[in-house]
Amino acid sequence: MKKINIKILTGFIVIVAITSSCKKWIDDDYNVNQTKPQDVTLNLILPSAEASLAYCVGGDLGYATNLWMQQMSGSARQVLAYDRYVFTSSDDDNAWSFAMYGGAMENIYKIIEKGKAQNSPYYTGIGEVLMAYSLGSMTDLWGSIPYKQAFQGDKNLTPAFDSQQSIYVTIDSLLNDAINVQFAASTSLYTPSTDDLIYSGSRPKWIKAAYAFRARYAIHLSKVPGSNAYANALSYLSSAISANSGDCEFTFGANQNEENPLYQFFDQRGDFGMAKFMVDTLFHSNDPRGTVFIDTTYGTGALAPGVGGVSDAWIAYPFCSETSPVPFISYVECLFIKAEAELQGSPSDPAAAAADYNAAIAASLSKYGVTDSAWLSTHANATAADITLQKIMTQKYIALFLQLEVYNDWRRTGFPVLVPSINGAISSIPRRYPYPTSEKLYNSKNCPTSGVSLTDRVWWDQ
Amino acid sequence: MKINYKLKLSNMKKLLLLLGVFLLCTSVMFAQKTITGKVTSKSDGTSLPGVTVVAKGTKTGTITDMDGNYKITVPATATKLVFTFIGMTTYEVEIGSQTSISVALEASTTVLEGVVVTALGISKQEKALGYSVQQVSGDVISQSDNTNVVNSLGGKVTGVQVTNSSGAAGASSYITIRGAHSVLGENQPLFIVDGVPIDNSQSSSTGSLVDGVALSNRAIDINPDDIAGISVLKGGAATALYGLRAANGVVMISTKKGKTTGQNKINVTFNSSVSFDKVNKLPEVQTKFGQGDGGQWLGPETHCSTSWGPKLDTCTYSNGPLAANQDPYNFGYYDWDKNGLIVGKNDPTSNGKAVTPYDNLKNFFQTGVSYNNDLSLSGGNEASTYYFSMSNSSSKGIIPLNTFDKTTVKIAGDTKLSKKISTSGSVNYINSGGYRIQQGSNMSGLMLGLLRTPVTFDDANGYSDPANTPEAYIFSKDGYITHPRTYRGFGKYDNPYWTVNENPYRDDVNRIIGNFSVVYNPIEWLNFTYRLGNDWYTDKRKGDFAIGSAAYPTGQIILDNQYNMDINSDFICNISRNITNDIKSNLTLGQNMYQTKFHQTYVQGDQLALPDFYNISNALTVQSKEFIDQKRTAAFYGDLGLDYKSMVFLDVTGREEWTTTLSKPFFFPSASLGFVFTELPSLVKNEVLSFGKIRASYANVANDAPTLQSLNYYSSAAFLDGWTSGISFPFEGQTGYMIDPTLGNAGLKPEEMRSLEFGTELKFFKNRVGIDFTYYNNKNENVILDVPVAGSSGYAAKLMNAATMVNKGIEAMLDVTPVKSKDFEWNMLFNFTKNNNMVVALAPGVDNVYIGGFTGSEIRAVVGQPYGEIYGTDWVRDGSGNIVINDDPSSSSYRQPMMSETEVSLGNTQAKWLLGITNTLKYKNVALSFLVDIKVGGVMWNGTKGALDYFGTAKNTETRGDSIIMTGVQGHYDAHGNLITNGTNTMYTIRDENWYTGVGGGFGGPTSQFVEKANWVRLRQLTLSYSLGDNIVKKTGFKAISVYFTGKNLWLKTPYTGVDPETSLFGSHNAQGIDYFNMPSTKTFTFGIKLAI
Repeated sequence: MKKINIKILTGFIVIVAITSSCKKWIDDDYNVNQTKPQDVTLNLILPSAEASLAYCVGGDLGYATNLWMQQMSGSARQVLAYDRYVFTSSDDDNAWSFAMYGGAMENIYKIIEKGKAQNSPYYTGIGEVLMAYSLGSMTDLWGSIPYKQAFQGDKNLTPAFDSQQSIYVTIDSLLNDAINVQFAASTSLYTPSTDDLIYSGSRPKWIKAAYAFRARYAIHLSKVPGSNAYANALSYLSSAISANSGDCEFTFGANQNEENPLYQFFDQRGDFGMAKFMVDTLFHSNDPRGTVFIDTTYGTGALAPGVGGVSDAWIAYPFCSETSPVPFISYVECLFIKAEAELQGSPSDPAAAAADYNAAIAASLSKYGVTDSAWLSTHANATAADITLQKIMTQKYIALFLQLEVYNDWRRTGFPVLVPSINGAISSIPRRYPYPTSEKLYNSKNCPTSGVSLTDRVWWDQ
Repeated sequence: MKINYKLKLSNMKKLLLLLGVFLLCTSVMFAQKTITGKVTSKSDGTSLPGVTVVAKGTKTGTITDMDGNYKITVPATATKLVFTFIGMTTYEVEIGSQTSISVALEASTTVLEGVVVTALGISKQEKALGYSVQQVSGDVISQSDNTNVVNSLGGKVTGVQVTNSSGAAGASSYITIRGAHSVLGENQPLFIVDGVPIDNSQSSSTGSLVDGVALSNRAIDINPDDIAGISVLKGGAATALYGLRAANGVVMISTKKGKTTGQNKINVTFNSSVSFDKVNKLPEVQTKFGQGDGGQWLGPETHCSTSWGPKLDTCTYSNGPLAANQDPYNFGYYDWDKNGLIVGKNDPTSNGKAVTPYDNLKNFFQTGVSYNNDLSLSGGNEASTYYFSMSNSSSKGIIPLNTFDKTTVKIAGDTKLSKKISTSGSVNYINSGGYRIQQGSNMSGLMLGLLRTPVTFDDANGYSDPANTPEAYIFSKDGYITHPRTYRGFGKYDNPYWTVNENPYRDDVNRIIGNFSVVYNPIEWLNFTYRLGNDWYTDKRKGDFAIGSAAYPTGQIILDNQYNMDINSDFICNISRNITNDIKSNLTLGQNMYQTKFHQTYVQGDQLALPDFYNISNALTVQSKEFIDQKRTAAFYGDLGLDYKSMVFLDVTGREEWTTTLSKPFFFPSASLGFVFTELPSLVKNEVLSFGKIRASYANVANDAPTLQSLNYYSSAAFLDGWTSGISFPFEGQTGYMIDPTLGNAGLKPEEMRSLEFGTELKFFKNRVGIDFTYYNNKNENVILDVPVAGSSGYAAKLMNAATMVNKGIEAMLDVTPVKSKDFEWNMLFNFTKNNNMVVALAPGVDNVYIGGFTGSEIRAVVGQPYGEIYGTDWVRDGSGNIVINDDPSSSSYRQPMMSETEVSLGNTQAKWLLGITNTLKYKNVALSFLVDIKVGGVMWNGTKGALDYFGTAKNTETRGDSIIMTGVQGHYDAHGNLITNGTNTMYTIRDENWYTGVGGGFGGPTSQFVEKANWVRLRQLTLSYSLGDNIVKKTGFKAISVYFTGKNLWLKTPYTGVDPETSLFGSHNAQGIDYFNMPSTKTFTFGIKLAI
């Protein structure tokens, strides 16, 4: 029996030996994916953050507003429903969850954080400008949105919502910080260059864009009592974008994987046409930009009045080609903001407003590559005597075709005057987006539930 | 452990020999009669040593010697001799006046009657099990003649469902046991060969399964002739010792070993068969209308895709003047068809020759021929045995050029180093691969081009051997540019003959499966076993698309090298002791380590410079990717079995397991109880009930978490918005990364399964009737999903343990032998399976998830429904479920049913129940067996039909233009979007081109129209075999000769209108129930011969 006991003992010693080697065998590193990086450098996140942001704001995020503002019309499927004000929590879910918060904004947030951690303020600065723009685009559509507790991943899967008022403070402080701290830094460990697909790393251009954004978000508060919207806007504009060549925009590429979002929508789905209101607006003033926006090769071959609620005219190829840029903010917009602030501010300066209005129209034609001095001389000839807010906003409506600002401006000023769709599920044009399904389901304790129907108004739109 | 068992057997044999000699001596005194003879194996004619020979009703017995000879002296009162041997059917012979009795024993239907192979390869008495295990013998596998061993289990084992993906040579098969257990993870059982896990994956090259070629599942590499038997471990208690890999069941394969034959003797077997494959079912196409649109003929030169052209009986051919586009090369004749242009009968250019349809389908498919040859040598002496086999199977498919070849070599041996130490090992080398054909949703896919071809276009271009005649599929060569000849002009969809010739895809697998074990048996009741096994393979794949191919017009080359290495190590200690006279105990303790590593390098080259030169250097743009997946586990396990008077059996197991995918170890226990109530004194001599057992078990087992998911990673940036294909990097020369939108989770738990099983096993009238009934209830909890999270967290989803799924079911096996006489035996075996699967919960706020499929016809897991719902669009329905036919005259869809944009559940792909009925009839040396396989329930998406309706080639479009009153109600939406219904529909709906290319077809119409019942009754297998009589065999010098015929799928009845509904585009993947231009299946006729020398 003794012999046997020794043998059993030996057996167990072997087992114990194997056990102790188990720790090494079960190596945590074994579950690390070797084919994907856990971290990447700033110059690899910036281009994808810019591209994804542009793809969303130039596409999915604004389609409903393009329809409601009667610039485009929806002829089939989902966008036909949007056109009829049937727009629900599932319709804006993708833009909110995957495109913005879970896509572009998360990566922009990473740029800001990494830029700070890696002593690279020039990256942080770009990140802050892009974040301010993203937050602005989001809050204007949804009002209260998460920011202070957002982008925390596992640390906070249910971020609190910040009021629009506080988001506006955040936007301005991000822009202020970008201009006066980040871009003002004398050195940056890593410096953006060609990886910055917007300005190729040019700090002066980014600073001008940041001022332009400050002006835009200042004037958004024109209906908010005591906001000093016009004066603030004017003060920022003096340092803002000063030529079309300084526009903050993202240009798409010719390869199949680089195409403009609207182009892809037309190419792969169709369903959009020009809205009658937009066509008529251009037609009535014989606007030379009409052939830039509208494809006249269909139908009569010439610019013609829209028919019914839906025009079968297509949006023109020059405007939505594979490589068409998606504007974030432009010189033209700065001039229109300036004209509006000069006219509406106190004291009002209609002469300056008229001059900037005329300059804005000319810059817009130039921007779209149209030269028609004859038309300009009869249509961009406002004077202190006849300049009106309606004129400014109508021209801005044309110049900023398919940009989110059209919807913000209409809500602020009521111009241009739009008649709600007769096919509408509700009798008035929606004034905000509903919160998306995913926030309602997965962040239900924080997602606001009252004052969030399509006809409710965001804070600055009261 | 089988080795150990063998050693015991040989020891026992010595003992019995001694005993036999003793008995012989003692019985001499009362000797009345001496009988001599030889015992052989019926299947291969080898002599059987160690067979117990007993005079019935006496204590007189002996065993056969090394050459199978015996000599027994029996008392005069003895009337019968009984021959018993493990693994063979017990045989009784009347003594009468005979003094020489030689018998040939037959292998019993189970591998070893009374003994089953259980988890870890441990053989246990079947009687002792508290759970259900079903075995399939090697002979049954071998005679099924399936290249893919998975197919041989279909209809033969309860609880098991097998779906063969298609009839393409080398196509994969999908197998599940007791339903689906994971939502997104693996649902197929673990495959174990001789105690060592092997890989049964089907890895795609690109991640997409909707197109590409039909690939193999890797269990196809096993040589069926090497298999001694298969044990199917179904429930949790049976598989509990596998812990994290146990939830889906286990297919335990035991391979053949050498047998002791005595000195200088070798057992040689040679099996050879030839099989002929024919297409068993095809979608029907119309033969009345030609290519075109709106009733007008539009020839190939117009690129017209549809068959909405003129009625053929109104047309004739013409050699008339050609339009410019009909004669691009100015040859002055119409190149697209040897008969010329198609014109109306009254056309002045008509040559009066009637237009008859081409039968492209019939012309295309061929009779497939497969050859199977297997040679094995085995033998051994008291100390060592060996087994050597070589096999080759070579299949030419029903599709021209499609092949699958497999060559295997196996060497196995065991040797007794000393009285206490023995070793065994085997090495199995496999080379397999084939020439595969593009399929599915793929412009170069075979069935897509073939079935869309109008009957007025001859894919073969009049050639008798079009697959080998380039003029059939190549229109012209224009310098470096090759113009394919297709019904749509140049390109668009490939001519099927182009597809098989110009888009080759070859795979070449080199694989070594090996194992080695040592058994140390220091004392009788204690032994230690160490077993090391590996499964290593490389899979080199190369796919080409010639310039001009529809899918990649500029040409493409794919190089995909895959490498897989699995290592498994078990250290097992077994203690077997009697605690008291009535209580026996057996304790197994073990330790397991396992590692798997997969490494893929994939290179894709596009835009070929030189035509017909397929080297990656010839590609203008080259993309590459690399993927590594790996995992390790370690575990301790124990199994305590108690046996009370061979009547009550209790078995308790536990496994503590670590894995690199989970942060901490988990423990998996099981307990099972078997009560053989016929051992009770009151029942022990019952004439009716020969055997009765009830059993109950409970187990907690699991599926492991997915690998590489504990951390967050960045990926090369790609971005889409839900509407479009989006953008991806590199972008304008910049590389870009984005953080992955799904959060990793370092705190994942395994997907647990709580498995409860009750069963009974009853045998009546001396085993003439056997019933085995099992009820189980398996609850899968903590099933892992990408659970959506609020986007404002910066992420879209997080991998979490969230879902719950339940499988409840019954399995019933009825084994009846209505007739059993000396010469004739009739046996019926019924295998009934009913599994009710239910997705109980997914995650908070998530009521369905995508498993696979196409946009608009997806396979999903839906809460409250069984796993695998087809999800898609349907007609608008009223509150009672009637479809609503639009009665608004101002609507463009007036008089048509209205389509709803909302996607809904359209039916479930899982079968409600399965029944396999095997009848085996034996008369002397002739045996006939046939397996009727019945599947009831389960639907399939017939996407093929939807497309063919659209293109106007489906048979039902022959009645185009007819009107029917559709069953439903009339109604429309009012201005407020409310559905207004106006009673039973009385309006006619016209089913014309507009209908089929609109809501009545597969591109624009609701998915629900093409969801069809996939029930079937089929003659899955019929085998007729004949063993030549001993007298004849002796003259030939062989030990045994048998010939057989096996037919598969000879008869099929199904309501499904497409190909054989046993099909799956995705092959061995969770998304079953998708038919989109799947390859057809086959019926097979096999003729085989088995020789033993």
